[in-house]
Amino acid sequence: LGTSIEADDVQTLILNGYRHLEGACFLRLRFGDPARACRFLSELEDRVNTGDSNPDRAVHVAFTHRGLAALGLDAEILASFSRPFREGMSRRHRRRVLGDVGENDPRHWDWGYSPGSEGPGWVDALVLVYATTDAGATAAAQEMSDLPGAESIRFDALATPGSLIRDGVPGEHFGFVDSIANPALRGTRSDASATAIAPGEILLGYPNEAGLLSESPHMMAGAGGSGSLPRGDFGRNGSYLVVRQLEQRVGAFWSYLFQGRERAEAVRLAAKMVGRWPNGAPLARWPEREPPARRDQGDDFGYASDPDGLRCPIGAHVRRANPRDSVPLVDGAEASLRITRRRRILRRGRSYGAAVPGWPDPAKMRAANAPDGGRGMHFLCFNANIESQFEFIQQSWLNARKFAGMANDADPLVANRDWPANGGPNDFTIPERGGLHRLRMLPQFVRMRGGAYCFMPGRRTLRYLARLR
Amino acid sequence: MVPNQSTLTVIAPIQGGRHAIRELGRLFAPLRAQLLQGGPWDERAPFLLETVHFARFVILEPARGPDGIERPACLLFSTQYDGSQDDHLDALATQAAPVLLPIFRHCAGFDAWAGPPPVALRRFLRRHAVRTQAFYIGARGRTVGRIREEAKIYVMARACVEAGGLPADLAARYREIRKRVEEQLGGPGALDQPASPGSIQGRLEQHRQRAIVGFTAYAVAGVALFFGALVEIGRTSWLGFPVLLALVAVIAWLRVLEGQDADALAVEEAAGSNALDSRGQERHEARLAAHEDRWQQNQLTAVTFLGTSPLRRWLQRLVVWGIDLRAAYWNTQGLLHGVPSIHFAHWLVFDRGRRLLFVSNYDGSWASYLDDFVQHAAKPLTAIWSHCSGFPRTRLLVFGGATDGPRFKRYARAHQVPPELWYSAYPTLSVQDIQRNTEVADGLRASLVDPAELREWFAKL
Repeated sequence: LGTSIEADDVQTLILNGYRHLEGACFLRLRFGDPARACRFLSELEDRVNTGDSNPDRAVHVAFTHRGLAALGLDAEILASFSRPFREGMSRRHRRRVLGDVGENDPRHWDWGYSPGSEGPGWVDALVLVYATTDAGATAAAQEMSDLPGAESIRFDALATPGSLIRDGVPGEHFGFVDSIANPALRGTRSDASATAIAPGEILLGYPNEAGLLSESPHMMAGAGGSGSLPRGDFGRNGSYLVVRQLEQRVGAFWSYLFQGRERAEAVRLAAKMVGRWPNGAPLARWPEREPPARRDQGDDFGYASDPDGLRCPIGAHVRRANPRDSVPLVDGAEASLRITRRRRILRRGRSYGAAVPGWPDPAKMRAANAPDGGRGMHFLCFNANIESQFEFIQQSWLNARKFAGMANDADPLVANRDWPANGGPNDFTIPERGGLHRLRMLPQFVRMRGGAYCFMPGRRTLRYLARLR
Repeated sequence: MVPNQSTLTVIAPIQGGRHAIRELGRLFAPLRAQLLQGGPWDERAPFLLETVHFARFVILEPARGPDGIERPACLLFSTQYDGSQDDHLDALATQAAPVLLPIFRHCAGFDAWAGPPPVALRRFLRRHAVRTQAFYIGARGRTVGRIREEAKIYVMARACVEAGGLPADLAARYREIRKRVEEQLGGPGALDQPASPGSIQGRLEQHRQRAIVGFTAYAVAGVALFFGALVEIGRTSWLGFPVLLALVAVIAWLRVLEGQDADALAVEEAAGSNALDSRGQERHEARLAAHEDRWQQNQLTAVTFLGTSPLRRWLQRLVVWGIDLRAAYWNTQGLLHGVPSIHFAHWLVFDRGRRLLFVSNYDGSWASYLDDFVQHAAKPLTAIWSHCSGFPRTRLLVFGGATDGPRFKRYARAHQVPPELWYSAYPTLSVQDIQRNTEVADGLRASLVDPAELREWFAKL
């Protein structure tokens, strides 16, 4: 099996994180008349970027299961998508898997869920627009509603754009550099990296790390229009896109850390929680103090030499989300790496909303005392298997109170604390030479505001969808 | 006397068809609601008995096997408990009768006139109890009471450290913690009970004979088969080449047989009523998911039809027997074939040897549990389930099969049966929690003085 990727058919966002495009505007779409929606899609298809390129403006589209159904896609193809995608993010059982209970319950979301099957919260498709500035992206997003066929579609922007990319370095509202460790795909430009993973971990219809083709929605040979898709592989060159709007409570975060602490100690504690210093330098390498800012924060490190978490706590956010060469309860770095390579996700998140005055200086942010709300992260990630990648990380690594044999620790940054059945408020343990230092009953710093499981099709499949009617 | 954990599985046909199943549903609903209600688990009254670690009721729907024979609906009741089976049956028949009687009344073979209720119930349970083939225990030698008490001790000791105000000297600090915990437990002497027993003796003593026979048989067979053949081939005598050839021929022949039999298994799967259409699958999945992730722990109950060939059934017995030996004497430290998240698991065949039952209680999500199995134990898994209809294709019994993770998971999911009721005596504790709590409690019981030991003990808090 060749691993070269048909890049010309892959939407560029999967191949390129657009660090040079600081602006972004995300729209959620509700389709009305299916024929006109298809008309709109055929116009949109001309504008969607594919191929491994570096455009100065980009448009991308992804669909939810209900969106594909609304277009009139064949029931057999719809049924061949993976279960999480078919069920959607807000299905009752998924809430327990994802920790979307209590404050994070879909009933409180701004979008992505409505009681009843036809409420206003639901999403049929997402259009993601990128440009050099937020204003440019917003203007480009406006143009979408002028395309032929758009008159029957309802457009809503997800949240106020608010880019925190500075000079190509992505930031986030707590004041940390973000999106550092992302897997490179074999068969693409970036695959020189030693950590490159098989394309089938992200793209559908390609060989994955187990040497099997990633599961992909398909259609029976001879079905109408199947000729336009090779081997009836409907998902080929596409990927599942997880979207979660996570509100960040910057005030709550820093005022908690500054309680009775000097600035240096507060920042050190924050770094212990994150697993990296604000400038992105990993604690695994710089455990004592933040090194001078560097452009390359480094991704080639592990935790095997730090089994007790004295440098980077075992429960730190980045160590939980990707334990690299030391998966808890697994013997040996080799075995760990084999496991983590099958759990990677390709993150494409962007901050939204205005930063707290003084960002990214912790002391100033804390002093600004800005009310929480209205800012956070549009967490976006691609993966080929939502269940064993995104959901696994969320459930078994981030939200798991028993991670690495701990008693009641969950992710110090993003976990849901309002979850009585899962132990309620949780702790964060920092192993230190003289014993353990434990932060008890952490407040909730991140709150779920809306989300959806989407499918971002390849160009050929998008064309097929546009011609459904 | 070393405390011992065992498992009981009772399977009996349900009498009265759909109506009886509906009636049972009505009995289970309030019990289920009671087990799921809020509040700390360790303050709740135990379900059935104080000696029960886990309990479940499962309804096995009517099913047509690969032999084309229709099986009636069955009620499955399974417990993992402390002590001997006799004591357990006695206690169930007396103390748990108010819960069990109305339920088992719906089973064929329950004779309410056999005597007073406890006698009738005991006779019924004994008659329908199915022998366990293989049994694995994650946290050896610990009773429910001990697990719950040691969880408390750990929380107390931790709270002392977190409250602060303790002496700086490690030994003094330890003594202070020990004193406070002892007070909370009810005064001096509360920590004087003996430290936990070694994990292995219990079953070794019980089954010493079987262990010796088992190990010897395995060793002899292994050495004879493999090394004997290899040495023979390695010799430069005239025999070497023909023997090698014969070996290759035999393996090839077995492989062909296996392939043919796999076809037969696939046909059998299609002939049985297990194959669900996509709507049925959706409903099945939804019913399973509705019961999952309510707690940190989860459960799995899976029923599969064994192939009709006697060789397959004999091989299955051999493999599961090997697993039992391994679980009893090798995997005694909380890992079964490298899987760290299992509290209890057991295998048995029922339905006159035609159906295989797997029951387990585990930590974390279904996905991570299954992935652990695929990553650490694909070969044993394949060796067990490859004799069942519908299993992903295998090569030489242990290759292929479960290594195809997604297919294996679909297979497992399709054969999983949702429980009507599932109870855990400590639903938020993981196997690692229990292990650590014991170490912390034992550390207090032992009155440590050695600085190195003290440091180690504090690191566990």
